[in-house]
Amino acid sequence: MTEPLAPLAPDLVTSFLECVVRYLRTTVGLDAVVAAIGTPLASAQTIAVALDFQGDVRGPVTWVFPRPIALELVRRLMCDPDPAPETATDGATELANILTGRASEVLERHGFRCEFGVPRVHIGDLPGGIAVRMTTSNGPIDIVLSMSKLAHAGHRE
Amino acid sequence: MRSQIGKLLELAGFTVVAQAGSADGLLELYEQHRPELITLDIVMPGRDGATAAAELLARYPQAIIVICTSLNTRDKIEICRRAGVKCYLLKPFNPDYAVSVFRRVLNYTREIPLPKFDDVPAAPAARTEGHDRVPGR
Repeated sequence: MTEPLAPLAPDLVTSFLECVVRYLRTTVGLDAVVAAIGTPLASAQTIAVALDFQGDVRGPVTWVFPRPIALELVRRLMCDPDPAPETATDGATELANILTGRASEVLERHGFRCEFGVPRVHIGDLPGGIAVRMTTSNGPIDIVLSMSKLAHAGHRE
Repeated sequence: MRSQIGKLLELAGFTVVAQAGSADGLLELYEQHRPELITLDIVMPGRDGATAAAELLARYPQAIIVICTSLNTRDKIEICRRAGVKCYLLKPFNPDYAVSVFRRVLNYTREIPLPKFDDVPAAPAARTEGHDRVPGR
């Protein structure tokens, strides 16, 4: 019998986003502000990366980064002041990996046992879910939380 | 990221003898090359790095493994600690600091202290800019 799924609670989403904001600052030096909840659009100037959660929380989180932000991570990781443009995809997947890893601490603190898979570049329409746009000085970052939780898993902090 | 760590190590004077995109062949690669240092991520295709590290260290306890990951969850840290992983380096890390950690675990230098795994707080705190937490044994 399949255990029923439920949407993520608003306080969990808020904590997740707060964690993302915190680590965007420490990871790529960006002050991000949650600007809108809506339908984000991937474009040629952005790179979309998805990671799939398994366990008490299931489904993908998809990150859409402007290329300059992805390159900033490469710049910082490699101390390379002028990274090659083709490294932007590597930077985006690594940034998605870092932010998802750090934000998964929030899920653990809420009592969820879950893991996530290897980041993959997402091509095409973005999935449905809670879509959040964060504004930064290097362009907007969009996040689509398409995860659900097992109905009886987790606890409030 | 794998190639970036490889470049970082080579720039620092290390020789990278092997790289792999998954941990599935870790044991065979270790037996083939006997590296002084292994860096492993946790989230990888196939087996996760913590499990692979535990399996390798069960057979070769002298292997020196540094986990380089963005995962800071207690269960993974605990698996690594129990297995005998030397260090747990949280991404993103400052490249110079990472290199100093690699040298430190190889006993090339004692310039930086390595906090013990036990120092990892139960509830992960925000990372302080420029200072990765590196629990070690």
